Amino acid sequence: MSDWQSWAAPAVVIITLGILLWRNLRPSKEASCDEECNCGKKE
Amino acid sequence: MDEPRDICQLADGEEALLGDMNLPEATGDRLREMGLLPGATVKLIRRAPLGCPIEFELGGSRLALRRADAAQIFAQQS
Amino acid sequence: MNSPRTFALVGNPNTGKTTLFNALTGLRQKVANYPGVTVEKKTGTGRNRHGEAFAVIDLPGAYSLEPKSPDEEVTRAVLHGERPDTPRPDAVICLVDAGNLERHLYLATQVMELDLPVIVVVNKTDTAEERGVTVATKKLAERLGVPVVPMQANERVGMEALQVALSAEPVKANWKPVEGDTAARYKAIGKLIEGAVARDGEERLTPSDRWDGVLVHPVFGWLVLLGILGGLFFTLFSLAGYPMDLIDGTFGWLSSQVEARMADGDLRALITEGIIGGVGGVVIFLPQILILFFFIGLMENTGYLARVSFMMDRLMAGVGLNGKAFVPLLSSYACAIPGIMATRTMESARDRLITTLVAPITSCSARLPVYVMLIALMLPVGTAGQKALVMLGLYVLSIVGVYAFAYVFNRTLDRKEQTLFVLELPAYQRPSWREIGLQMYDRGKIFLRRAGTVILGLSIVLWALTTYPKTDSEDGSEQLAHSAAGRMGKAIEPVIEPLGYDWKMGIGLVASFAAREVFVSTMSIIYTGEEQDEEKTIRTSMAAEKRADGQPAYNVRTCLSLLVFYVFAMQCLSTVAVTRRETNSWKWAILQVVYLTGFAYVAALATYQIGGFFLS
Repeated sequence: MSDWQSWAAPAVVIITLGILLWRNLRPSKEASCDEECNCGKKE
Repeated sequence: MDEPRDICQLADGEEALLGDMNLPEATGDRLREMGLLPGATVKLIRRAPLGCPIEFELGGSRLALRRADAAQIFAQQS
Repeated sequence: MNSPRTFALVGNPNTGKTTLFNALTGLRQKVANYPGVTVEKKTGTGRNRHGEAFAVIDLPGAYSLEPKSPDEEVTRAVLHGERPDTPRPDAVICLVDAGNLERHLYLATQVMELDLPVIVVVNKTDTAEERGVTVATKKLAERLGVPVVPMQANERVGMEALQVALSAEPVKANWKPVEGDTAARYKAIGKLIEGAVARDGEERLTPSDRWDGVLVHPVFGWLVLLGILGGLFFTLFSLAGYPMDLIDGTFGWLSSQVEARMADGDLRALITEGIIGGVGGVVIFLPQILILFFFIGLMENTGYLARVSFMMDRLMAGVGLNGKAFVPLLSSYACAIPGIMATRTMESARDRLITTLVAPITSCSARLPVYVMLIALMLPVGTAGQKALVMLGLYVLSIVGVYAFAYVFNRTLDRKEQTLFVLELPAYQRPSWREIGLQMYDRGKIFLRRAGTVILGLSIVLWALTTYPKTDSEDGSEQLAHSAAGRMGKAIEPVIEPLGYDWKMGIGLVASFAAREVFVSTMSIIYTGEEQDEEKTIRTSMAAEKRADGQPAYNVRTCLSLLVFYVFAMQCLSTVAVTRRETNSWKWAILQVVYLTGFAYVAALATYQIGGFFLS
């Protein structure tokens, strides 16, 4: 049993969760383009 | 004939000159833009295997319309 | 250096726009969405004869610049320079069909009035000639003062001349804006083409007519359609098995490599079970998606797809759908995600919405492993024929479900727009393998991108749910019971008990809300303590599983109830995400989850309770 793995795994999970939430809960205008498009541009 | 014929009543392969149509503004506009104007020639090509929709030839293109819509488009009386 | 010149490609639907776009740009293209609307935005780059790069935007097909659909609105707005996300093009390539110049010039002349330089491409000169129509493009070029290029884009005939036109300084057309209505424009167009279009007026049977004689024949037409669908499903569910096994093996090898190189621990489990297992479980559907888009591409490319819509329309009309909904629903049998994406070909927003809402009821291939496992448990001594019959029953149930719910939505959603069904039946043409290949490549890329982003994230989260909080126990099933997912399973036990499920099945249900096929792998963890490759052992331990009263847990009643639940329940986060994106609102995505899962619950409850009268 490697010790470092038992904290590394939860860390990966938390980072993933953060990315998922951020990608899906940011303002809807941008969330509609998960393919590459001119998301960054202001209306 | 007194009653104007609608284009559903054409026989397979029969041609007719278009007269008026009795369709809502938006629908009628689209059909007119596609060339279904009074005086244009339409030809009934065939009915779908289940009777509807119906295929017409118009200005070199083939279009299928539903019976309900086509029944509101009339042929000129000859 | 100046930024490259941008050409917009404009034309009616079915004019060969995509073919020309592919011919100009090859693989140098990008597919995305116009922000805020679900209209596909295709851009690419090409090179002219001087080696200078130019950009091409393939604008959505339109009949007129007075828009009547979201697609047409995008075309109008881009040409007017009104979309902030897309700069106004520098020049326009107007694609018109030689067989029906009048109608196609309707849009083209509207574009000429926008004060933009144009190049006119007269496409499909070959099929026009088959019908006895010849176009004197030189005369048109003289009258309009712009290049008018005759082409057969699908055979790449005329590319050379188009390249010459693209390499010259673009010019505006010599065209006086039309005052007045539709009829006035047609009159002006009539004057423009007078003497430039010759029709021999001869009655003739074109090759296309001969094909139609068979393909939409009242008897042969159906036989051909059945044959093609049979071939599609055969390839989808049997031939696809070989590449799928290969992918499965590759992911298995990958995880054994990780196991060999990493010490035992949580992170290793996350990588092998969560990431490799989870992503592999989705990527395995890639062959089926590619096969599906091969068939759809082939049917679309040859012009047969329009005939399928023509034949199917009557059957779809009864529940408020139209013939164009057939293909999206058919695609959903492989996977609802490409199915919902395929609704973009439908003009009416309302039809698109209804089709999207019912698409997840079709029995997608992710349900297959679940069906196979449950049917084997339900009929341990059944023959292959009996098992196939149950499977067929599930497919029939899903078809009935699609029809019934389409009917309900057709009745309840308000009918704001007037729906008009106009279906163009273009002349048949030889398929362009290159174009079909490009489409498969595009769809495959989008699918893999999803697997590498959303699915990857969800797999990691799901792994965490079945792993944490941890116990000291070395036994996998005890650990699972202790985990968050196990607790959820226990928490929902009172709710699912009337359906005939226990908390262990509850874990499977919770886990399958991300993706259905996860049910199988979760069950294997629960019942064997660890993941096992051999399904047999899972089945034996599941079959041996007893209830408190000594009855087998997986009796016929429970299995039937579970099967019915899986037919209807919305257990696919990717589909939720696609619905959200395609309808541009959470409202419909949430409604879809609620109505499907709610109905699944009621239907499974009814199955279990009514089953009690007949079965023990």
